[in-house]
This record gives sequence, structure tokens and C-alpha cells, in this order.
Amino acid sequence: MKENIKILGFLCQWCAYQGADLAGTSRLIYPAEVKLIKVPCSGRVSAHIIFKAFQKGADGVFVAGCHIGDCHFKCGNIIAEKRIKVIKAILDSLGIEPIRLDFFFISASEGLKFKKVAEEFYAQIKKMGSLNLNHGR
Amino acid sequence: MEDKVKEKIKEIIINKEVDGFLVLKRYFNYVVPYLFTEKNLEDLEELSLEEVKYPLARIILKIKKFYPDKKFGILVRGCDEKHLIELNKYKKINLKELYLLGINCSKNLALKCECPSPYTKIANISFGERVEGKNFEVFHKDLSFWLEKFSRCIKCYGCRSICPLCFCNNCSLEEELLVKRGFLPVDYPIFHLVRAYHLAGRCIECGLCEETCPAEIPLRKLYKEINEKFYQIFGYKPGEDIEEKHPLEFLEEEVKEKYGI
Repeated sequence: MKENIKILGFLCQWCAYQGADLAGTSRLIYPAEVKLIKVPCSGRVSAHIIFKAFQKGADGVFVAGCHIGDCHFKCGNIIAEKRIKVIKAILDSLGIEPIRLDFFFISASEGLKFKKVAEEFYAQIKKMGSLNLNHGR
Repeated sequence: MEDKVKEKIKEIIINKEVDGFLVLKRYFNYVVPYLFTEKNLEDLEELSLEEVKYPLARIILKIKKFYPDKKFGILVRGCDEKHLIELNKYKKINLKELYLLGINCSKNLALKCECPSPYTKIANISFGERVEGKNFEVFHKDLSFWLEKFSRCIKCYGCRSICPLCFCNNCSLEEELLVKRGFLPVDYPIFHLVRAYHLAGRCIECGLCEETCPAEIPLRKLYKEINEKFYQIFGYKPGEDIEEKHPLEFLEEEVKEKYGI
């Protein structure tokens, strides 16, 4: 049986989403399993949202925001980066591989970087296989 | 020790150092929190120093809400003191307005609680012999273990309600959009992990939540492990230093210092 990997990306609307947009308009190909969601700021992605994504069947989740200093709201990306570090620690204590979650800095002009990040992240998750958090529900 | 404590409480109430003193009192076969003031000093005979855990910090918060200008005294053990240190950091209570009467726990209690520091550090005065505690070993289990434990949850909110450090006015676990009301089983593991996230670097591992939990979920062990990882990442331990700040909160100054934005 072929395993279907699902990856969810939360991209900030000012930088990372524009970067993904650029990757699209420049016809760069990235794995179709990577689904993207636009958020107002990477700092908006709370712990609840990330855990919900995992529970609803995502095998990997990443959050991408502006480079430090570029955040539209001053320090949203700094908050997000720290938060992801803590959530990774929580996943690790539960016995879930912490590399299933990651944070990237992608600016609006880095279409190529977005493609690279998406491909690498996809390869990493594919190696680990799917995550079953549903516990038979 | 009990007589000394009673004497001291009587002394500071009569000297008007404090307006009221919060301690545990015997009530039939139970132990209940009780506020001693000038008016009911004769009840002091029933004061109890029994070795039970009680979230006194949570009660003093409530009392302080009704009488913000009065000065109170409170009986603290090592864990109560850590609660108050953390609450002071979040500006929920002012340590300078409190009189802390410390009690060092006995060896038995320290072993029972698996407490690494069963003594008081910043109390105004402390009674009892200081014993060294022990650190209990790290508890690492796999995912299926935790999912099985979480699936027993009956969503009583007991862990949230008893925790002195869960002081938010609006709890995100009561938000209709995030946690569905009147629906069991709860959305595990989200429910437990969100609380774990909010307590990362804030939980002082007193174990009240684990004691309260009717489903016997080993919450304290989970928080303990997360806190240890938190320490490895940020080098911050809650309940130790009064001045030190939580790395995820109070960002403004740090951002200005580090990045100049």
C-alpha cells in the first residue's frame, strides 16, 4: 500500500506566502503533498493550531515567517520561532519525532529557497512515514 | 514546632505586621484553609501543620482580590514559595506585601513528593530542620502509552482549576471554537498538550494536578520532562530566581537589546 504523506505549511502573508507565490509564478516545482495555509503572521500560529494539524492527520507541519527584523508586527517571527522550539520539546517528550515540526525564515523574494525547503522537508518526512495520532478514532 | 509557629503567628498579628494570616486548620477530620485575624485569634489552637498539599497560593490570590490594601501572612512550604515566586513574576501578587512563614518539609514528605528542594529559600522566617530532597528519574514513554493515558480524561478541568499558575481570566481550553463543549472524549492529545505548552517553563512540578486527576494521568511526569528539555533549550528554570524572566514572555526588552527593533 502506498503511503500518503500530508504536509501542512503555515506561511505568513507578508513574506513566506509571497515567496511561495513567487515559486509558483516562476514555475518552480515543489512536492504536491505540501499544502499551504496563509496566516496573518507566523506568531499567530498557536500551539493549539499545530497540535490540531497533527491530530487531523498531518504527518509534518512547518511554519515559515519573515527574516528577523522584517516582521510586519516587529517580533511575531521571534515569538513563533521560540514557540516552535518549545512545541518540539513537547513532541519529543511524547515520543513523536521532533523533526516533524520546523520553522523557516523565508522572505518574499526567496522563491527558490521555498522550493528547496519544501523538497527537503518532504524528503525528511517521507523517510519517517506517516504519523498516527488518531489512535483508532 | 507547632507551638513555635502558633506563637509567631500570634505575635505578628498582635504587632500588626499583618492583617490576616492564612494557614491550614483542623476541621473535624479534615484540614481546611483558614484566615486568622485579630478577631479569631483564639481559634489558633486548631492550627494544623499536617503534611498535606494545598494550593494556598491560589487562595491568597482570591483573598487579595477582595482586600487589595491589606497585608497578609501565609504559611509556605517549598512548593508554595515557588508558586508565589512565579505569581510575582507575572505581577499577580506582590511578594513585598506578603509575610512568608516558611516550614521545611520532613524527610518522609520530601521522599513521598519526590521533591528536589523541600525547603524554603526566601521566607521571612522558617521553622523545621532543612533536609535535602532527591531528584526523581526521567520518565520516558512512547506515544501509545500517552495516548492511552490521555484517552481516560473525563474533561473535569481539575488540573486547570487547582493549579495556582493557571491564573488567566480567559482560559483557551474553555474557548468554544477550540474545545467543543459537552463532548466526550475530549480532543486528546490536543487538550493535554495545550496545557502542557502553556505550563512549559512555568510549571514548578508541585504535583497538585496529578493528585487531583480522577483519571490518574501522570501529568506531573510529563511536565517535568518538558521542563527539563525547556532548560536545555533556554537555560531557564521556573521558581528558582525572583528576577529571572520567562524566555517566551516579556519579549519587548529582549528584542530591543538583541536586534535593535
